[in-house]
Amino acid sequence: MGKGKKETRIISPYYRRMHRLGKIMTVLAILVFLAVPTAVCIKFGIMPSIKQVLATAAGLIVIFVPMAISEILSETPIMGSSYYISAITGNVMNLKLPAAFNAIKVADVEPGTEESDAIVGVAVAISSVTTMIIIAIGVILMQPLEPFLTSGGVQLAAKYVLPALFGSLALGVFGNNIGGGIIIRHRLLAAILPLIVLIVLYLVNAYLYTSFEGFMILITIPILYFISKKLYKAGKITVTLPGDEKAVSGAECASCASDNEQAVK
Amino acid sequence: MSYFDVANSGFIYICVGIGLIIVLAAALYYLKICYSHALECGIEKSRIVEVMRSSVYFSIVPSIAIIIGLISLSTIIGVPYSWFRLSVIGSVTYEIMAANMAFSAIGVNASTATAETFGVVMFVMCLGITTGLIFNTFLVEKVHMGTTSMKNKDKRWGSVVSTVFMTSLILVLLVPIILSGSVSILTFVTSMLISVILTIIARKTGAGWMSSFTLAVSLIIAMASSILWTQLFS
Repeated sequence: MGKGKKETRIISPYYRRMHRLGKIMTVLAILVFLAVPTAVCIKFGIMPSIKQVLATAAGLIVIFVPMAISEILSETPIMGSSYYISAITGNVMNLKLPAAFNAIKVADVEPGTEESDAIVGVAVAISSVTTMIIIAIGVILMQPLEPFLTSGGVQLAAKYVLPALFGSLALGVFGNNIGGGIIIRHRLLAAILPLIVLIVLYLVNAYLYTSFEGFMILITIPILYFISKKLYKAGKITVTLPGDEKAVSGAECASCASDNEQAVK
Repeated sequence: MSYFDVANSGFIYICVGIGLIIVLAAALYYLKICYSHALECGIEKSRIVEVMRSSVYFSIVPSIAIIIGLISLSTIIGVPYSWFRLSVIGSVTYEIMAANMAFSAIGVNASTATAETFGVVMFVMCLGITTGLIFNTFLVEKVHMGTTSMKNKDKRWGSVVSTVFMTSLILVLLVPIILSGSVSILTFVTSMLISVILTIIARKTGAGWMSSFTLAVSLIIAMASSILWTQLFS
């Protein structure tokens, strides 16, 4: 792309439709989220003043807005157009992201394509519906279930839901087969330095690290990106596309232009 | 009326029920559209059903963990609003933090709060996270299309780039797991091993249907193993 030329980005009808739908759903959800407290406050005559709400909410907004932006930047490339519905239905880190990873692995589709976008959408939507149903059942059965759910063993096991989830998922993410028949070798070499940086940051302040994981992802992405690019160009990271006879690296990729044309087609 | 008279009133249950039905309908509509497009893309129906089955199975256990969080949160903001917040938009960690921040900003706690306080707490919890949603309407498309066009420029390099985001995320989540004690790392390793064993069994026996269960089974066994690891190492 030449200097000064503005890139024209062609958005497929599917993506255009999904983003429009996502935006409509987001606006609808915001209205629903605001309608519940409004209805309750009107019914009980406890409507607070806007000034009081804003003064009290200011601290939260200051923390959550940068966090929300960093989550959009770090999670959208994985979730695609399903990010809207994921954010509306919540529990992104402990349910929707694992659902996305798992769907890509089970369906064996290439991440970042329309196929993966659709299949991630299926997984995220079905996971949202399941969670809403289970929680509703939990609320109905809360009294009889409470002794079991608050027992030491269950509480302890629930504390380890993330390591238990990501142990199984990490294998798929770190494997050479990234889906859609594409094999990438030695890409984890690029992860060594970011991992060391993250370990140091965690050791410096574990509380800040876990409170601002979205920011940590934002720091990691550019580091991993540039190291991956260097290693790809140097021929250390190799890519085998479906139909290739051998793995190809950035250093020897003379046919990239034709690959690109095929990809665009 | 006291704080908890309002917080646990039947009226809030009705409002929350209606709100949840709307969000549920939106999720089902979204599912229908994605399902149809997955078929149009040429993904076999059996594979889509496998993804759906797998997503249901593995979502059950983390959902139970959310109910445990709901029990804690209900002691601060009552059952119905906790139910609403945890079924949509929020997560246990955020909601408990938001409720506590709202209380400390007002200068009360759940036992000294009045009905009026509940009104403020509801709006404050809502505003904190809803403000973030507004950014989705004008940022998500730009980020998504930006990364997608990067992939279209060079198919090989684009494939590497598409893994950068996932790997970054897993690395960030991995560090606290590795460094927050032996139980955490052993639970992680158990999950990984169970997953490998199930994958090998599925491959050797040709039981492709097992892949729907791999994540759910690994999750349950690894969570159960955390009790054993705690007894052995803590």
